[in-house]
Amino acid sequence: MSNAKLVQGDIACAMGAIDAGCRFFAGYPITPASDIAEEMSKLLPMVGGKFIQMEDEIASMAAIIGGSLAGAKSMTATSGPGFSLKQENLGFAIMAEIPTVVVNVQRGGPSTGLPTLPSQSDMMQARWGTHGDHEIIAIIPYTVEEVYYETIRAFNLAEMLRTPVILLMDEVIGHMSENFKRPDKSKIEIINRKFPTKTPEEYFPYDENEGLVPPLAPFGKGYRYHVTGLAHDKTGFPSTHEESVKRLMERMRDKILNNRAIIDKCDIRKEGNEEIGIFAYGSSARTSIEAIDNLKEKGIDVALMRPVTIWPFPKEQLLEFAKGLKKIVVPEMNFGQIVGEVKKYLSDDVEIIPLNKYTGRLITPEEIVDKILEG
Amino acid sequence: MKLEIRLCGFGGQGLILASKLLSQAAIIDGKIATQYQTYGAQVRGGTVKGDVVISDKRIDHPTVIKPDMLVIMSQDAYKKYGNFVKDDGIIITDPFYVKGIEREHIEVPFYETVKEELHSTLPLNMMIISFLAKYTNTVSEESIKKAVLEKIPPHTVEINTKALEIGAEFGEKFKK
Amino acid sequence: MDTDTKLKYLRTEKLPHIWCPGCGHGIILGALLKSFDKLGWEKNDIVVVSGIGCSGRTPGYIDANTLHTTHGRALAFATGIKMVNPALHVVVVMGDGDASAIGGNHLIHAARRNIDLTAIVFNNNIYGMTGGQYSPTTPFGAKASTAPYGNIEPNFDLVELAMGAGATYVARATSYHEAILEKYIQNALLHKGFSFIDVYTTCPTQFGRLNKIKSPIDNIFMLRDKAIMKSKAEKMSPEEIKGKVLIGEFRNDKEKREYTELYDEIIRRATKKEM
Repeated sequence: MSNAKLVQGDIACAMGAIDAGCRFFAGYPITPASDIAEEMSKLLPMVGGKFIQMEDEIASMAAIIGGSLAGAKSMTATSGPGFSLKQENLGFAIMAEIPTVVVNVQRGGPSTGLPTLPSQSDMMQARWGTHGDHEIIAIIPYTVEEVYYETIRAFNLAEMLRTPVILLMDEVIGHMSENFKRPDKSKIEIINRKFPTKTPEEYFPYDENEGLVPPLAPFGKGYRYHVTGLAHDKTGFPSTHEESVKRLMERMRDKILNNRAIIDKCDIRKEGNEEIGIFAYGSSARTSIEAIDNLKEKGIDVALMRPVTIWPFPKEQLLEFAKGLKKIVVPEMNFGQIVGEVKKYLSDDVEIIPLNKYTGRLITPEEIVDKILEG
Repeated sequence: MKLEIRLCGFGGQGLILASKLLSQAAIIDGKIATQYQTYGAQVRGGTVKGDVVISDKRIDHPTVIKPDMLVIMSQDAYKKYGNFVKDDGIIITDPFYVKGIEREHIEVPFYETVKEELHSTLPLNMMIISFLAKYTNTVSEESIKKAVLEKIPPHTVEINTKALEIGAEFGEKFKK
Repeated sequence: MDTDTKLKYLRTEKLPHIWCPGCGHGIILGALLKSFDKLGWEKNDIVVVSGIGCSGRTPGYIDANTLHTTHGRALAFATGIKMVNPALHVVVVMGDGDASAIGGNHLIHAARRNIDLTAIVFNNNIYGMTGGQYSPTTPFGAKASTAPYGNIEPNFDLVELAMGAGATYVARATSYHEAILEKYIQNALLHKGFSFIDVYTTCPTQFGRLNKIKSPIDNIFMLRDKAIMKSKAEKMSPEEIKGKVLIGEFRNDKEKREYTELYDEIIRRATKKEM
């Protein structure tokens, strides 16, 4: 007998959100993410939280920014087409520095594509989907259990760094069920946003003197200030002053890049004797692990690098991982979105072998084994 | 031990729920299990499949690639999935739904049995999972029952319990 | 007295404002600020949300919790704020493009839900900030920078739209009829549920210039001449009403349940585990 239960990925995401303290969810129905909205509509009022099904995906993103400004940890969940629609307001959340969690359960695209089948083809959209220069945090879990814990981490990072965090799943991770035991709440680390220590008179919502992440006062708590998607100064009011724009842009960039120690997360499985490595994420990483086991039986040792945080890209970890490797296979359910990043940072000493599948089917362990054996 | 089971048929037969209950029962037994389903745009009546992987250890690749056990419950499902089974895999069909199979298979009259014995075809899926648990010897009868009872409304307990018993009987009978 | 009242809720350090001479937006802002004062609302409890365009700059001048969002989406942002903290007074100011073009979907659904927001449309029948392009409320035949031969699209009647969508308080005023406007704004702010005011206003720089209504004062007179009180119009013939803009209170329904209150009931049921 075990205490684990059969839990679906999307449901684990909702559980993680509730346990992280999420108290507002706005969404719009879309396969394969609707299960998250359905579960949140049931769970949120049980803990005094609120759920709303908005009129469209754009409104859902807008509503969670409003909800977060009013003080609630807020989330929305969608899939490709909806993720496209959310992009403008995602940029607003970045610019106005409003903590939010945006889940994208990836399905095949472009357009309506393959609603019930998995893909990893929004990896670059997560990075560059909204216009303008920006840094972004994106996380990609690979098991139901990890979905739960990474949803919590997504909230922690969003609240800690006053920024939207994207949780990337795929249709299989969202729709599959497997063993999961919800942990005791005391075992979970929850991080809340910083509340101002200054008086309302001394408070500025974008105060550089407060470090890279100034505290965010919820609306209605006596701190009256202005929020805009325009470039702004420390007061939150619009400013096109060159020095002020420069400082804003650099602070928003640096609050991500200088906090890599808390953002980065990589699962590296390497003994040191391997000549071949696999760089894989999400459900493709599960397939890779099975392929690695199969190859071990054939006497071939293969190392694995599995980024859990995919954006910002784990460049340093990759350089370390590549040491001693002659080739790295990069299996992805897309045309090769992340393999480009892998190539960008590695010298020609390492052969980079893409393995791409874009038919809405998981890559199989056999396909990875064959790729490694053939070349 | 690693066993991959696929239940396929049409929407409304309860096969996806069946695949979930089978996986949950395996987990109650202390095993590792994954469950995954495929369905089309039709909410009712389209071809569906519920996949189950049961193992003693961690399951990496999450879904069934080629099942060890393939249960086919409709002609369309046979056309779609009938050829995807391991070389030494076992195909189980219900002769009420599936006809004209050329390759080796076992015919189990799930439909006719529940209809005759229970005067309802609703517990068809319960008979199937109980059959599979017994036939494959991977999931205990108690855990199946526990998983089912956790999920079903009280007024259906009697009929579903009966369906589980019949399924187990058939599982035993067809084993050899 | 009047000036002091307005100054009380103004961020005076943000003046002068960006609006052109003769623009009606300042009058609407003034009426809003006076209404806050009449109702004695605490600045800390007021949230003002806007979209994009000239009207979008309104919250910046108000000493409250202010949010300048993306084009057309103000009502959706405001919905999130109101859901999370129903104790806040949430006012949404929008242009005609915001409310009825890019954000038309949000308007009808906020109205349908009857969520307790006050929506005020600064309706000058044109896209002012971007250079005078035609909007859904530009009159048929009027000129715009993207309708150089005259507008061939029928215009929206925003009052009809809001009523059709289920708004429970609906009124129209103009920036010429300041006293009426102020009264309607107060009624809207006090209304529990979705309240909507279509404020017919001027854009001498774009609409006036392109339609040969030259001086700012002529634009303001246009409001005076075109507007008829709804009660008066009821006694007039269709020919007499043609081309006029009806002002007045069109709906004040206090029966329909408000959305956040209904949701509180959901919470009560869910915490008691009643489905």
